[in-house]
Amino acid sequence: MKLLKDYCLYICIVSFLFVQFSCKEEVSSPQVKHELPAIFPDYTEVTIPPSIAPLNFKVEGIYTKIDAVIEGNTSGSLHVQGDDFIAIKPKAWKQLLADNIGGSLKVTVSVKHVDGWVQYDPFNIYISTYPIDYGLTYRLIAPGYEVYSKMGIYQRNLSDFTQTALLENTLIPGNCMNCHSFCMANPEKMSLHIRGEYGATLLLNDGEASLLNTKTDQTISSCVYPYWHPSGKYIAYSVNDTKQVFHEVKDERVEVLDLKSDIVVYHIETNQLFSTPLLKSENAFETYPSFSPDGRTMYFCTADVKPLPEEYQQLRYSLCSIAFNPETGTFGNQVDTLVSAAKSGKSVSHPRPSYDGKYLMYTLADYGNFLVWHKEADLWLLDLATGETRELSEVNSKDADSYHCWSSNSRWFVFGSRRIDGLYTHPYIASVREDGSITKPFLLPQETPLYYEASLYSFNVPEFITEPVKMNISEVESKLLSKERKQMIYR
Amino acid sequence: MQTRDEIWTQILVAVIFIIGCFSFFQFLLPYHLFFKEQTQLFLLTTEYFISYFSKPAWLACYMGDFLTQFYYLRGGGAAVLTLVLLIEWWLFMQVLRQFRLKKGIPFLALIPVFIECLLHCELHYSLSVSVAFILVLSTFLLYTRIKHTWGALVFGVISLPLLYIIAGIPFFLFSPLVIIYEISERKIRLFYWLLLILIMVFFPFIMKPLYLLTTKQAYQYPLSSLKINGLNLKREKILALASESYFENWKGVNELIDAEQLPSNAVATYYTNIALSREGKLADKLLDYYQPFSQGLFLQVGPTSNWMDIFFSSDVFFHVGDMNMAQHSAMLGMIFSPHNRSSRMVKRLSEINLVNSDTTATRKYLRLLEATWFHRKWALEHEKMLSGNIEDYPWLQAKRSQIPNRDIIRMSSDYPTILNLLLESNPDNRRALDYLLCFYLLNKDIQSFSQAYDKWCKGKEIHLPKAYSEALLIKLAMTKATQKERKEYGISDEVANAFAEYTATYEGSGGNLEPLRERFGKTYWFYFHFARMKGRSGE
Repeated sequence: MKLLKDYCLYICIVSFLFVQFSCKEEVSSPQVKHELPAIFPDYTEVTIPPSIAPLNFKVEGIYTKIDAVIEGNTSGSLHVQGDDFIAIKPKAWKQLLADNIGGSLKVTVSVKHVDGWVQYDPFNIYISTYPIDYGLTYRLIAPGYEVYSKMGIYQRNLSDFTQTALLENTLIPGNCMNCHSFCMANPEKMSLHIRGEYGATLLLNDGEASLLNTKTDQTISSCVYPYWHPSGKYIAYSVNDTKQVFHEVKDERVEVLDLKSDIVVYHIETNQLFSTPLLKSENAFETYPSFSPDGRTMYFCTADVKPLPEEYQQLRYSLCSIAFNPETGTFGNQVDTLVSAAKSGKSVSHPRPSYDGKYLMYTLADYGNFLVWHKEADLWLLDLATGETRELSEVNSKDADSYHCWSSNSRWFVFGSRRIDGLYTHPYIASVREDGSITKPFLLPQETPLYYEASLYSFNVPEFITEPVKMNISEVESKLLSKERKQMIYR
Repeated sequence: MQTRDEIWTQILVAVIFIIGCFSFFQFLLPYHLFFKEQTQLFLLTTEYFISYFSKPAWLACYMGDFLTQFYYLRGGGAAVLTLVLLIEWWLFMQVLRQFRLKKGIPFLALIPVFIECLLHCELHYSLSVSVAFILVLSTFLLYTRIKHTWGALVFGVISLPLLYIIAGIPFFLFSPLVIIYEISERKIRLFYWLLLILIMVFFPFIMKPLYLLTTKQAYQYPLSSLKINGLNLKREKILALASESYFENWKGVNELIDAEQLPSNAVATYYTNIALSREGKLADKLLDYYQPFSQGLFLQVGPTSNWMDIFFSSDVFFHVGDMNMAQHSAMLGMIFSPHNRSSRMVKRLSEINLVNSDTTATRKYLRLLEATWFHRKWALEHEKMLSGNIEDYPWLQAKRSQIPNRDIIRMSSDYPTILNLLLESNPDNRRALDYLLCFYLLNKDIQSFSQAYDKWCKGKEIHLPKAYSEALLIKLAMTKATQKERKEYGISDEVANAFAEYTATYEGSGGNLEPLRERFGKTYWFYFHFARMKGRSGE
């Protein structure tokens, strides 16, 4: 009898807890506001890939409860409620996306205040038919570069919230990691620089790690900004003598100037670096190389040498190209200008051709080439077939929109933007439609929308990867600490 | 069963320990404890809690950091430390009892606790380590309660790796305790002991790739360093200046400057100079204190700088009105602090963005502070300033008036360019003016000093501080200026006569410093002739 009594008591307690924690409150007689809710992150009218992690969000302001009804235009719906934010169950979300590919989700948001519920106009989330790559890699770093402390390179699965560290500098204290680059999002081909006492360029080629010393007597510095040739046989690098300087007015902050810069190409098989006088001019700065997807053209940025830092505001880079023969490893004899700084009065940085050969995306600003602190920096798109170039007003913001990278199918691109707070860079993803129009970008979703508020790190150099990077961390650590490096040879 | 005497001895030792430990930290090292709180930012959020799982000792670290936030309160640090160490002492007593010791247990248990007391005098020694010891000792005591043989074996083998995960390297204590206990219980289980030792030795190594730690870090986490320097009262004086400045208790800073024999240290001078500058007395009293050239005005930040210098380096930029450099230095200060996040730096970043009228950035930092227990009130007060009338906040009004109205770019260490620009934008910025002129003086650059003085001060009705008049006399002597020119600068006859006397003594002694030290040791002339950087030669 006593056992039965205890059993009943347990059932009562469990039932009470279940009711307490799992039942949703009804949104009764809400006051209807004919406006879109001010949600963070702003996922209103965005287009997402069908495999993306749940878009959890909150509404700006104070409330005691938040409610969201998410209805697929084909089938399925979700009803989610929370105290602080909307946290969608991953499994249900995944199913809802799968059921509505190519369609949309209608999201109706209500929030409860002391005097009752307020319901906003519904907004749509469009589900693209274009798939997206497995994930992103990025460097998490505090925005200050002079000396370095905690930072790391991480990979993030886009279909859930899993973030794992590829490398953290706790492993090699006092060292800085930067400019990780993959060959067309292939995780088995990666170049990554490590600066400091154990400095080296870590080359992951078909999964095998080697450490390179990239400084030669014929080049002005170690290799800096990388870009893989689509064949995976070459990597183009800039070599830069860089200085960090500071602005005095509040809207500008940090400027990174190249006092010298050239472009070189590394042939992995022969361990040789080579260049051409057209990319190593004494009278010009050349930087940010990239290859066309057929591997026969190199794009780069170039500017006439100016006295620096005195004339830093006159330093404007043009977008140029030069022919490249991957069979012989030789360059053409002529440089073509695709976007002229003299004509536009603006400066080009970071040219990235799409892997389908249709477009080239670049960043445009008033001057300079290191644009993460330039509020006026915006993304532009060059149609390689017509030569027409246009501002990507669909994705640009009032703050710096700078670094961008294409997905392996060229349907998505990720870029860094400081639009949230003006100080920290965060990754946004947008899609290119068949007609070349661009969808509204969305912020990389996190398990909690409070993540970005609490984060004190910038998402630096976001790059797509088709699969997780597999790297033996213990092997990399012991190789780094051994200080044995393969010396590049200048041809 | 303890006897009545044993209980009384225990109570007596506990009372003496509480009084001694509390007094030691409260009266000898209060600022050391304040500073530890300033170098962490404990958030009461789920995200923050989850972040602890990325490294070993997550529970010890979380609990240790939770308790460290109480160091913010006056007396809070000493009270928390006393409580934690008291628990540790009590647990050590219980452990010793398991080894069948009969006498002197309260005193023997004090030995490890005394050692920990001394370790807590190190800035790098975290409260998490003490909490980790508590977790390990408690687990061991739990182990001794298990009477079932196989139950104990399974518990030992499972809890050892778990202890590394929740408590870190103090888990090393567990296996020896078990072995000693079993020997005292006459249970000889060699295979089991060997297994415990193998887990103890290899588990950190196995886990290090998962935690992305080096071998050394894996075998000392959560200890960041094994260095032991002991009680450092010189550093306590420096931290007193730094903390009272942070608390904006400038009266307290001035009292420290007046009362204490300040250490010859760049950071001590740095805060002394800021305090003097706030009162407009920098140039009057500049040479009353140790001046390591201009390094006492601006702390050096570079790859070889120590993290404390980087941590403090933003204060002077905020003081003179250079918000961009203040922000850059504060971000560096935060990332270089032991936890890579700091309540003090987040407060400073809030203030900087408030001054810059950058509402979104200010809110970002204030929201972080609102998620803490002890900085929430401060954050809410500053939140009001975002939408309030600026005239209600004179400090904010004053700071905004210092913001430069034109842009230039410069290297971070190009201080004269920064200060000149601040003065061009706001010629009444006395702090920037004094820092500019004193920068030249301390670098013995009389020509630049004189040019800057002529540009910003000559012909104006301003007080001529002691250091400036002494430096101007050197310049006038160099250019063989007339009496009339001296009068134009407003240099008093008294100072001019002292300079004549100094020159005569200097020449008479053949450039020897000793005859000049007593009478002129605090004059700029003496500094100009005899000051040398430490590590070169002389003084």
